[in-house]
Amino acid sequence: MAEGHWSGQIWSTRLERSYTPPTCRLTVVGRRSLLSSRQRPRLSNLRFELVLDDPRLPNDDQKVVSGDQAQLFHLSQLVRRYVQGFLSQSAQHLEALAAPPESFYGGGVKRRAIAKGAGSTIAALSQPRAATYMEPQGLAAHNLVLGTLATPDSGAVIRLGTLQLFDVLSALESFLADWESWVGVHPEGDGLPAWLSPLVGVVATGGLVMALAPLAENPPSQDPSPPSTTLESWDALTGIFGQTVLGTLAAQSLAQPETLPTPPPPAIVELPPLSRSSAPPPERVTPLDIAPPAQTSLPISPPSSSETPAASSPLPGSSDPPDLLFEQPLSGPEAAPWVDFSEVPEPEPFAPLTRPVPVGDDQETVFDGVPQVTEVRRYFQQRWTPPEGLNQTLEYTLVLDESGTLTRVSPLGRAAVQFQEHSQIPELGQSLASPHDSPLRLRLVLGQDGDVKVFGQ
Amino acid sequence: MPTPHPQLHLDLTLLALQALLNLSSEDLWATVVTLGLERDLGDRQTLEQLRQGHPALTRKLPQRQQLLILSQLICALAQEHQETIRRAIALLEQYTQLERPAREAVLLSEYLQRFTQGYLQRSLGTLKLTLVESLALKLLVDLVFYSSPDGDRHLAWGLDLGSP
Repeated sequence: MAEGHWSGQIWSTRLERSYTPPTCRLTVVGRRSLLSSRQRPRLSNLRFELVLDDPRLPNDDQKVVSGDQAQLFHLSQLVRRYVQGFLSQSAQHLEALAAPPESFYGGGVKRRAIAKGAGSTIAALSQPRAATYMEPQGLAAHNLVLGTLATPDSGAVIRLGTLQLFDVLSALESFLADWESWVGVHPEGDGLPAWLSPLVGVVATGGLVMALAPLAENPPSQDPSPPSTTLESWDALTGIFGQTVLGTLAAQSLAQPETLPTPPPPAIVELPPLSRSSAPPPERVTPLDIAPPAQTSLPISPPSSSETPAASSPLPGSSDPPDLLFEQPLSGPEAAPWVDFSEVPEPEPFAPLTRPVPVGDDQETVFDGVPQVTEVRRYFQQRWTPPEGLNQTLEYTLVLDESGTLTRVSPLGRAAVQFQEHSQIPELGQSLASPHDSPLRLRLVLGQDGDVKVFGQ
Repeated sequence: MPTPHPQLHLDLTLLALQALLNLSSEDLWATVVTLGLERDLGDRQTLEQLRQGHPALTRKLPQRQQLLILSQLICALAQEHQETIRRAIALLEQYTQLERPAREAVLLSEYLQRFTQGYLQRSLGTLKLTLVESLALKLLVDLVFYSSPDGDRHLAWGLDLGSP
């Protein structure tokens, strides 16, 4: 349905993946980390572009939404929650309509019909502080109010048909499934890692099994406890199902993570840079403007050999430090971190970081000496969200040239290397602060509790 | 707050599929066999009892398993007939935009007729046809979400049992 297609060059550091259901196309572009493999590409500096094909509109009027990784996750969660609300409306229709006799549907359960008309609509769904939200327009249309994602081209609101909403959801869910396979599910010996639950909610193949589990103990009239993603519920289920086909199914979805079916390895094809993906739908992908990776080599503090997997030799000209994240099963609290949707930073209008917004009053300015320090702190305060599993502070040394452009990033310590993709540090070559009369060397400290410290060095 | 009658919800969702695809109960049973679920059910009569939430059946099949069987049937059928579901919804979108009633489109008219018939046979409360038709169209729109690889999870959302 929304198959992903790879394009890129084997030795290129830029990778692109497209998801192409019938009425939209989601293109995700990122920079490939050094330790990427075909089966498990590792992307950083992710950007996305969602093109909504409306056959009723001329090509020039097709709507495009684009943004960065935080915005992509935010949009994914928004669409999923909206669809969830939309689908659960049917239950209310039924409540209002049906008054089954005692012997039907749950035998003897007292009904508590809600006084709600069948034509009730879903309340506009928005997230706190988010200006991006969705609202229904009857059964067949839905308004996506772009808020911070809006551009002059896209306008403030995109009207989606229901099929388009479904296609957008499919594309986003395909991306999320890929993302999940990229970050890897490492068996911890006790089932799914906790960090998987914020995104997956329930395991795709066993979603319903999980979701129905509470009904075993609760008659339908009671509120079931929220579905758990622990192995215990699976054990209970398989115990009950025994040798039935359903049991087999449940057992399959219960398989240890390493035996879970993974998407087939995407084929990487040689294509000229910034080429379009070879997907069947009409090609309307605007090449995303990705800055070429800077050609600086980066001194890093390598982790001790006992912790370092055999890494492929660095690509010539790459500026990425060897990034150990997800390449090896980590144990304990350092297990693969995860972007918890509830903690995704408030997305901001994405603009290539040209000139930062001048800072206003900041209580720390007095101590900063140079305003650029405050600017950088502001930048990270607006973006930094500690990933799940982080239990220590991360420290980096950042070097900015006179123009305020980031020219060097040195992670200090293993955790800083591991979590660098979550650190929100922009690519080298991006502008991070106003110009200054000399290069600046800054110490960036990102706390596990979300606080940000920046010091001039 | 989950739907108080997931069985009713699933039964009517299955009815929506039957009405759209013009499936008889024999056709439905053939799908059960294809999915290998007949071992759990035994015969067609059990499937009917299961759809009605027959209390006696719970002794034979735990309720959770009953719901799973219905859910699997729905997702398998929706996946197999996604094109037809899309066509029906595209028509609904088109007629809504033209501000014309859905029943003017042949496919939707037949769908509504069959759904209403099945609904009335179930003696479920209201007989107000406009309400029954609005439910029928809502369940039709829901079907496309059950036709994706993540259909089972979306169905759990529909029953208000899962969270994203």
